[in-house]
Amino acid sequence: MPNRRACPKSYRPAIALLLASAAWIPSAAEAQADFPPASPYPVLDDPQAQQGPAPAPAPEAVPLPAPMAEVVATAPQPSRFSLGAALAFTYRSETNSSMTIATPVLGGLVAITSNFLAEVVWGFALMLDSETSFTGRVGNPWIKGWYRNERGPLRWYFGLGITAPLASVDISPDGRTQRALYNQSAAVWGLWDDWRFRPDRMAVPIPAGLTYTVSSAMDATFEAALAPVIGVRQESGTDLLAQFALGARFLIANNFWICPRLQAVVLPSASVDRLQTAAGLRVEWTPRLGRFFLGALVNLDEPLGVFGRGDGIWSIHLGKELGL
Amino acid sequence: MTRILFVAGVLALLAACNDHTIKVCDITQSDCQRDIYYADLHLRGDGYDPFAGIPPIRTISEDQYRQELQADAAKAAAEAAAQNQPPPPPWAGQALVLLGLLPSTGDTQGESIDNQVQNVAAYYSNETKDVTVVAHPELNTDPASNMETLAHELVHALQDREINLNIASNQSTDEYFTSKALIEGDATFYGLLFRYEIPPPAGKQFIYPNPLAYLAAMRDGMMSDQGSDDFASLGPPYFAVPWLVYPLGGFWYATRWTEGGNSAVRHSYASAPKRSLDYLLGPDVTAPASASISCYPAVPIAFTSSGNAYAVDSLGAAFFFGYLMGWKVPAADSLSSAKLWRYDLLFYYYNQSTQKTAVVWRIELGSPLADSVLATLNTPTGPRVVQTGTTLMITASDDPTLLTTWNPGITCPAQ
Repeated sequence: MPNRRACPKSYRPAIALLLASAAWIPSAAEAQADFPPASPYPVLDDPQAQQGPAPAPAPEAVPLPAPMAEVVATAPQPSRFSLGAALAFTYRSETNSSMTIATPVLGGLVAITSNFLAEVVWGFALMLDSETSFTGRVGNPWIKGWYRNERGPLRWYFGLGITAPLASVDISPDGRTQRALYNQSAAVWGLWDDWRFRPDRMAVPIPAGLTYTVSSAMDATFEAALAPVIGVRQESGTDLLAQFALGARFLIANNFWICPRLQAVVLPSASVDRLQTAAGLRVEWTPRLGRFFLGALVNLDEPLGVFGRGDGIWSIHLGKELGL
Repeated sequence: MTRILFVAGVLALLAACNDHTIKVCDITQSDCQRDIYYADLHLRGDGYDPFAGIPPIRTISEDQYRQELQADAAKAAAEAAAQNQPPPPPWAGQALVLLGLLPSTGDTQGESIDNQVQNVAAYYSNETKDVTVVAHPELNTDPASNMETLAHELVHALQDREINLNIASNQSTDEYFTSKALIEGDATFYGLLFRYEIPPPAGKQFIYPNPLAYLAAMRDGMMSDQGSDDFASLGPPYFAVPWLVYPLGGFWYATRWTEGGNSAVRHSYASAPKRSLDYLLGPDVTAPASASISCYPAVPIAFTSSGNAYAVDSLGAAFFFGYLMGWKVPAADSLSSAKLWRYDLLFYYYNQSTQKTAVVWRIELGSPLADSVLATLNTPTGPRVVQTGTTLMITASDDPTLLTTWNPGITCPAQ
């Protein structure tokens, strides 16, 4: 029978996670920062700054013996290289069938100078459906260069990148499965950085962001990107994607942050829907090893979201940001 | 803090009460088209490609449709003439007339256009990437039916980015039928699934409980010899059989969906039937192996093209069913006989000097046809039907001299 879920249960875990995470926020204002705030996700991290300054010695601290102090003073500089990985996945239950979508994204970042960085990220699209059939496809590798700077409580960055159109769909009996895999893979990110998973298209994204450090326990970020997307192989034409996001980070406990986020993607002119919005919430843990996160993202409006006749696509995200 | 909790709570409440119910609307309105498109996306479960929009949709009258078909035919003929291509051979249509698959009066092209104008509700063009709805004043103008039609065509627009809608012209007629059954069956099923998403008017309910039951009834009705929507109502057999791709293909994919949802449908394209026999047998029947035919019939050299047939084609079990129905074999016997099909070849012969056509249709069967069926097929004016073991030879010609002495099976023994 047709799917008539008036109140589908499939995304309730994500909603529950949103609510549960929101309940943590009161402690954020009361918490004392003992670690410098990293930028809200997914703002580019500074591989060096991520280490944070050495904490000032407490007055009662016993000074180190001279030779030891020298060792500390000449400690090796933080690595110029940083590796990150993220996994977004979802489970979709439909009438008579289901599918699990996982999109691992791997990334590497290198600081060329203190202000200029280069980054490459590459996503993969994986699907296991209720026919116990596994489908895997590559996304579009994305290489980009960054310029960043900061003044006072403000940090900003902008960059320029290009994707290699490795993602493709065959016009064949497998074509629908492949296209579904790419569509769902983009959907679990709320179509954010859509060019990573859009088959037969290449893009020249121009991302930028601004972070304002409100206090040692709170910062806010605005991100945007504009990307001409060019059809290749069986696709043709050039269209424009734009995206915006507002995010914040609240320190809730020692090295633990709660990070709400709202994002909107302005879709191409060919699209029936011109805006896809999503809300996310994640918990970050920022030990010295890096920035680890676990969270959820829920698409909001049609055709992917939980409102109206949308598909109600939610996803769980976990991983480690670039910026080791 | 309170605001965040409030927003999260509102989001959760709204999210838990979304609704996929479709409301009846006017398909000429963009909001209605968008809702139907979203419903198709939701029902197919493939997510959303923002680079693929709704194709342009237009509505034309029957007269406009006829004019366009005639213009297309004239354009194709002019292009063929400009490229010095020979006109359609006279034997092609004549062979179908001799077999009773087409009526003897009228031209084939004109008959085809008439049949399309009468039966086509809408179509998607993968060349111009648009949807055309043909308004039939005498037919049902129920808005929900129009919405189903548009949902069907929008599935074709989605298919256009997934599977090849350009069916190769070098396929046999049977292969062409199965290719169309995949394309139209998929669209028919999802169009019907969409139809069942629209709540029936107050006090009414669907006659059939689900799309599978509906398609089974549609198939049985279109393949019957009773009722106003029976096989004969679809036109002469050669034009009627292609309409069977809708119920047969639709039933195939509805069964797959019932068994395993969208995942099963997605995977079934690769294992879709390659013979119309398999659509006739149904999706859960073990398909019997095909037979083979490795010899040509004997025919006077004057009817050959350098010793060979002018063309050879495999019509398949569905057209065999149409042939039987055309010669008034009862529908149940036609279907059971068609299911005995294991392979066939139709040989076209033509005498250039006398402009006479001869045709041999050799059909290999799983077991012999019933005597009652043979008796019905052998009429004084119709093709000669001879069964030898499990081989059926159907011969016909408009050259009476040839018919008196011709025995095409002499050098092509039964297998």
